[in-house]
Amino acid sequence: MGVLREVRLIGVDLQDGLHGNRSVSAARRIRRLLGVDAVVLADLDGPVVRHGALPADTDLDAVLAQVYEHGTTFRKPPLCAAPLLVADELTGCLVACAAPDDRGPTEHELAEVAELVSQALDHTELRSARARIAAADLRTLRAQISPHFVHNALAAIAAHIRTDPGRARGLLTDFADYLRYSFSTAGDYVTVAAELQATQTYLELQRARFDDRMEITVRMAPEILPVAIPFLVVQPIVENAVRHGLEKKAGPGHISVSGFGEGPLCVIEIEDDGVGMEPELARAILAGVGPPAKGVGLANVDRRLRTVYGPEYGLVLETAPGNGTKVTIRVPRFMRGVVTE
Amino acid sequence: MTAAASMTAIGLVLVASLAIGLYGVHAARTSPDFLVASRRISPGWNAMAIAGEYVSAASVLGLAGMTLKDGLGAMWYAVGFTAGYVAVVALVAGPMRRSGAFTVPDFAEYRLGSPAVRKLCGLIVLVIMWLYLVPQFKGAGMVLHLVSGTPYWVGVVLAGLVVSASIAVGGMRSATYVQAFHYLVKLLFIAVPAIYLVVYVGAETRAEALRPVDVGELASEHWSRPLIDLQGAGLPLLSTWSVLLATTLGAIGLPHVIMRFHTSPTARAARRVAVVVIGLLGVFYLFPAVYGLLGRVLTPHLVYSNATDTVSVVLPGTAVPGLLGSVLTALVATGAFAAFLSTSSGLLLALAGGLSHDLFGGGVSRLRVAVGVGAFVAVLLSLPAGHLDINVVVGWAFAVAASTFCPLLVLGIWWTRLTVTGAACGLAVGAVTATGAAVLSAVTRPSSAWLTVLLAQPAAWTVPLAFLTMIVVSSRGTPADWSERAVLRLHAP
Amino acid sequence: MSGARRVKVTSPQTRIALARGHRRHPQLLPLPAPADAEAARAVFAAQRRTALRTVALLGVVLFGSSGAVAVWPSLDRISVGGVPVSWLVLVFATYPVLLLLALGHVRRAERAEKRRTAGGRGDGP
Repeated sequence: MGVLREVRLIGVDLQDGLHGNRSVSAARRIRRLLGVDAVVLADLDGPVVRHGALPADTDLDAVLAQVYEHGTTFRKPPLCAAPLLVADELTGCLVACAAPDDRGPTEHELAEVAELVSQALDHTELRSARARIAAADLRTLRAQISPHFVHNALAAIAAHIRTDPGRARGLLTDFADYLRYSFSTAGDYVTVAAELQATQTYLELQRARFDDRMEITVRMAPEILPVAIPFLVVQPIVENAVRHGLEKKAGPGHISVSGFGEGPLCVIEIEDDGVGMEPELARAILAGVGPPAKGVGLANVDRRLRTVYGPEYGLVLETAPGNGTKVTIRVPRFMRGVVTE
Repeated sequence: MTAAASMTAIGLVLVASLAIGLYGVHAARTSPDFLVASRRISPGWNAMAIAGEYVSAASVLGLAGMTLKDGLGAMWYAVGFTAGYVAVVALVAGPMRRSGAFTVPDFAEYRLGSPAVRKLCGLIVLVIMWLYLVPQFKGAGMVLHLVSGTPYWVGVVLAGLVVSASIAVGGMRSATYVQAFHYLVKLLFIAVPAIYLVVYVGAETRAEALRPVDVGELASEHWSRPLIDLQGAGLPLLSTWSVLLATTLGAIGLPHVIMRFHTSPTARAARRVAVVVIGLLGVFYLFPAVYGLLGRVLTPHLVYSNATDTVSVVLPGTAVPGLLGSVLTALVATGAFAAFLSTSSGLLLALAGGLSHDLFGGGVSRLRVAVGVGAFVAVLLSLPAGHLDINVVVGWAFAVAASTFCPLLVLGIWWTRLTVTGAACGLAVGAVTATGAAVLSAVTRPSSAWLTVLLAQPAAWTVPLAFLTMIVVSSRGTPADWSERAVLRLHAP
Repeated sequence: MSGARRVKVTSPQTRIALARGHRRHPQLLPLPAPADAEAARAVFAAQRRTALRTVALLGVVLFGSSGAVAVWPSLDRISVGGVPVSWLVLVFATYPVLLLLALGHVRRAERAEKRRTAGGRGDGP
């Protein structure tokens, strides 16, 4: 049991990588585990941490060079060294120095421990990758303005230029505003007012395309306009409602966006009377196992809301085939760290 | 007659409130000139909403009643209520908005990052809100008893039902315009009868009101000293200063009022809103004294029957006979009802938010349940409180706020070295001492004059004690490494 | 509307979190650091001075006016238009003073903020 605990703690100590401030503690644990005099953890530029004293005449650099050149375990008593391979890539070296009257660990034992260290380092990289993925989630949405949408918007504007130049100019301004908002990189959070404004311009463009057979209602309690929410959470849902709910529907469509405060919560509801969908499909989309072409925006928003606010603040969908869809965003009015710049 | 007129007026105010509440969430068909930004609440409306939520039954009924009973000194409460907003402008409005915090527990989380302190704040919210709800419900029960003759307890229970129902119907969604409307109702329905009465009673009565006579056990020279003498202990300056400290600093920490600043788009707007509130309060507080002073001449019997809190409602009918008197009574009763409704629904909603969000996990069904539970407890607490002066109980709520949230907000905003332990200790000490003193004062009668005053209005010692506790305990620990960053953000232009 | 009754759907994580009821405390998101810490400290210090000044003045107004009424009972006997001076102080005079105090504070605070933003823009690239 004690050994297992030690092994687990080595992983904990290496949480911040070889250069983290607890890696010395990891070296100390490895030294005790192997029963040797000294342990050195090195990266490709040379030794990083050492625990215990090496003999005065040790040429550590030569040993490292040897290991890095051949990529295999190297033994030259009292030293024994093994490479650290993270994701099959050489990233460092573990060196152990046996006590003078001891033969030290075998090459095989050392390779096992090196593998352990490598796995811990691999975890560290995965952890930081996860944070990068969360940021990338947002970037995907930003970059997700489809060529389809750009084309449709421009075509709709073009259609108006002759008949209604004023409207065309308004639409073009909307288009510019919308692009600027979608590509803005000011921060991860915006006010409800700003997000709503972008949603409004988006809807305005879509309406021109639909030859105004789409009706829009916006009902907003002014109290929640200054609330900070994650960037692009309303617009993708509206876009989803238009693309998968209303486009496929024959005849006029209606979409309503309403928001209000509910005690300490801020609630935004997006409802359309489009074609709706199978609840099973909706469930699959939110679980992240839906068909790739459908509801990417919904799944993305849901995931980001849960990352920021916690699992109970995910999206709530109410839908049925042929009966429209209602999506509810319910988030706290205040969340530490959710601030607009 | 009076009863019918009052009921009609109150009914109209209720219906209008509901209509405004529903209209507040504007419906807008899309149109090219639709701009979300233009639909932000203007500072004027926001300030009226804050004043509407803040001017409670305590101001409408309690100030006049206390003036009748104890003298004009009662108006120091009003001065303190207003001065509180100078402190809000100077110390919390801007930074609180920049923190993004909606409630005081939110601010604690922002500044200290501790779930435990957040919970503690949630508990204190409950204490303050219930202490503040009791006098509101008492006022409602009393006014109803007066205009329709129902027993006190029926009025209290009815009040609880009306407030919970109005929140359930729509008060949860958009309250700003409803509260602003209530401010106007209060101002008009208190000011118009007051001005009319001053003109109507004639020069002789006016002069008499300024030359008070002995009524009951209170000698006139005592009464005409414009200072507060709590429980007749004979320490007017100490009493007055303690009340001023409680009301001024308590205004900073009142949880339901601080929430309204979240509606302002920027910190600068929040500060300006608070300034407008001072003007609105100053105008309103000119009038309650009229009822107290005229009541001293025209309805002195209320002092003997221990019903001074009803003077605003009784006076118009006594002074003006006939139909006009009934109408004036109805106006004042409606103003009092609006004061009750707006303050209580604000209080109850803040209480329910704290109960459902800070103490237990969120969810809308829980919010509704919490509103019900909060109203139920408030009704239970109000039933035996019939004999307590409205203003005194309100003073206690302010004292608890001044001894807990005021130091937390002030030190949290202006002192980088506040620690979690320091804040928690200060909150606990302030809450226990201030609440304890109020409870003791309600159930015992100490022999020493000093002790009497310091229990009846404990702010004079509990506020410094809470500040000192936070500072001393914090100085012995080390704040989190992001502590300075959290403070600097609050002041970044 | 035609079609089937709508069904409520959430992600599995949300479903379990809502069913469980009690709230897990979310991780604390980090607070972004101010762009220019030195400038932020300077604004903070300036605002604190302004706030202290206003609060001190507020104390003088409140405790001064009530103290004056307490120390000089003769104020009760001097009357202007039939109303004792001490009553006038209490009922009419304090509110305008409080309003002026608040206005003065807002002016100072906003000026400090403006100076900082203007100065920051001047120093910047």
